[in-house]
Amino acid sequence: MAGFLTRERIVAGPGFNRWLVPPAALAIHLSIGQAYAFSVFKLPLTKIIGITQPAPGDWTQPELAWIFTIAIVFLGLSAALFGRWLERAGPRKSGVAAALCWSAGFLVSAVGVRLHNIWLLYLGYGVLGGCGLGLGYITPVSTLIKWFPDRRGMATGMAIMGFGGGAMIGAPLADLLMKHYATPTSVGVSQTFVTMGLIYLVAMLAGAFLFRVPPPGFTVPPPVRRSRAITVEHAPLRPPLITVRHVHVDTAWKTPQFWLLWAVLFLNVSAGIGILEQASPMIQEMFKGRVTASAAAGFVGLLSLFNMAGRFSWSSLSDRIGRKRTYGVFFTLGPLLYITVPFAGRIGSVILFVAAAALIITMYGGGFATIPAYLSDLFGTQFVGAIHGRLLTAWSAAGVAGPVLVNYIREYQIHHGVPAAQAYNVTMLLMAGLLVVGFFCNLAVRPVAEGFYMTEDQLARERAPATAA
Amino acid sequence: MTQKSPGPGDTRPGQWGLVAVAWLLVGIPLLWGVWTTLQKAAALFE
Repeated sequence: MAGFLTRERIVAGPGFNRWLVPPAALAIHLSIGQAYAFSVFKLPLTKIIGITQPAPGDWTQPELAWIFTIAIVFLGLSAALFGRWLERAGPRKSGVAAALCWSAGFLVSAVGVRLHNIWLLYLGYGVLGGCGLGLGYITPVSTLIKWFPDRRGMATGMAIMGFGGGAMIGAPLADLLMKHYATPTSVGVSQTFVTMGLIYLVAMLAGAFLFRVPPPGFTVPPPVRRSRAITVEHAPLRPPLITVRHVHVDTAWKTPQFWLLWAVLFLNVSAGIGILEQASPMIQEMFKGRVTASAAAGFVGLLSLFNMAGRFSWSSLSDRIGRKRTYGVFFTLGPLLYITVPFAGRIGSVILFVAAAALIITMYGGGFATIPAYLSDLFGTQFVGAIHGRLLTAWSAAGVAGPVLVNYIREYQIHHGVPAAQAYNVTMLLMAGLLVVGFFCNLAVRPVAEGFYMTEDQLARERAPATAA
Repeated sequence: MTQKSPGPGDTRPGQWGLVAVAWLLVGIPLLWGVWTTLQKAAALFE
């Protein structure tokens, strides 16, 4: 069985259609993207004992908030730690590992709900699920980049779009299942966890088994009008920032480029969280009496759609205009949009407010989706999964720092007498400032220095197992 | 000089059918999710 999962066993044969890889990647990302919809369980989990309302002994919201935090921390840790293993083991083995972790996370959590033991939820959804998230996030991305050297941005955008879209499936599915399983003595969360765990297991295993890796010397078939096959070396209009060589994962983090991109991702995500974290209360407080709670929920839904759309569209555009320019747009247009948000509140324009926030969120999603292609441009494709895994610690850091920063500034201002509707102004200005810093980090990105690249011998040794097969 | 690979990347008849099925399997749930989100988002414009 173990041999069946190895990289050597999944080298694509003649005639394999590379367009089978994106749906396989989507199957995994749509499954793990459920993480963004974890909040649908929060209220029911506070009523496990009381059923209709929280009773003494029921879990509190702050206790439950730790589950998601632990999951995001373990996402970053597992992606950073197992990225190297992924490159060696191959996407099928790591995809199966991700499926088992993610599914086991749900099943252990279901037991935790049954026994009313919060530690089992921390261990289940938090630790196991978090590892499933990390492995499941980087596995498809690494594979797609190798299959689509000519359209890296579009390929990774398709997968990472799935992570954004996963919540759109996960939230209504969980709602439906909880309603179906609810009885006078149960809120139905435990059964919902089991059902979702099994559904995601099947979907992710299907994705993992569909994965193939390109054989050594893989070339992309030329479009009809072109006369020669395309390798990354001959990709049309290859700009200087796209290397044809490879940097080892253990060397990559010693380069300034790695840390500049770490900062770029950290700043872009932190700024995006500034909007996402406050979307619902912000629109209601800025347009008091005009935007109801249900309309605000609709606004949050709309943002998730733009988040998903931005992942695909910006990363696809980056194939044409380059990664550096794409981030240049984020960090130039972004600050202007952040300044527009409080301005829209001042002049009472809901349309302008929604448009600015929606565009900001496309760039938040676009930042996630374009970063793997940026990494592969700079460091090559050999270790891109592992390097991407290490870079995702920036996401974990932003996931913790962003909300703390946003909430602290807001509370500080309200405490000092600033009206709630105006307390967002400083936050938005700060977010704009973060993007300006990001602009300079991105501007400083240059091709990796010659000495960091692997030699032909080192590369041959790394590729030896796959070649031998 | 690049030599055209005879195998990978090329497609044989029938594999496009498999590609279509695979895309349908992920596309249908995704479209369902987008549809339910759009319905929710419609409240903003009412």
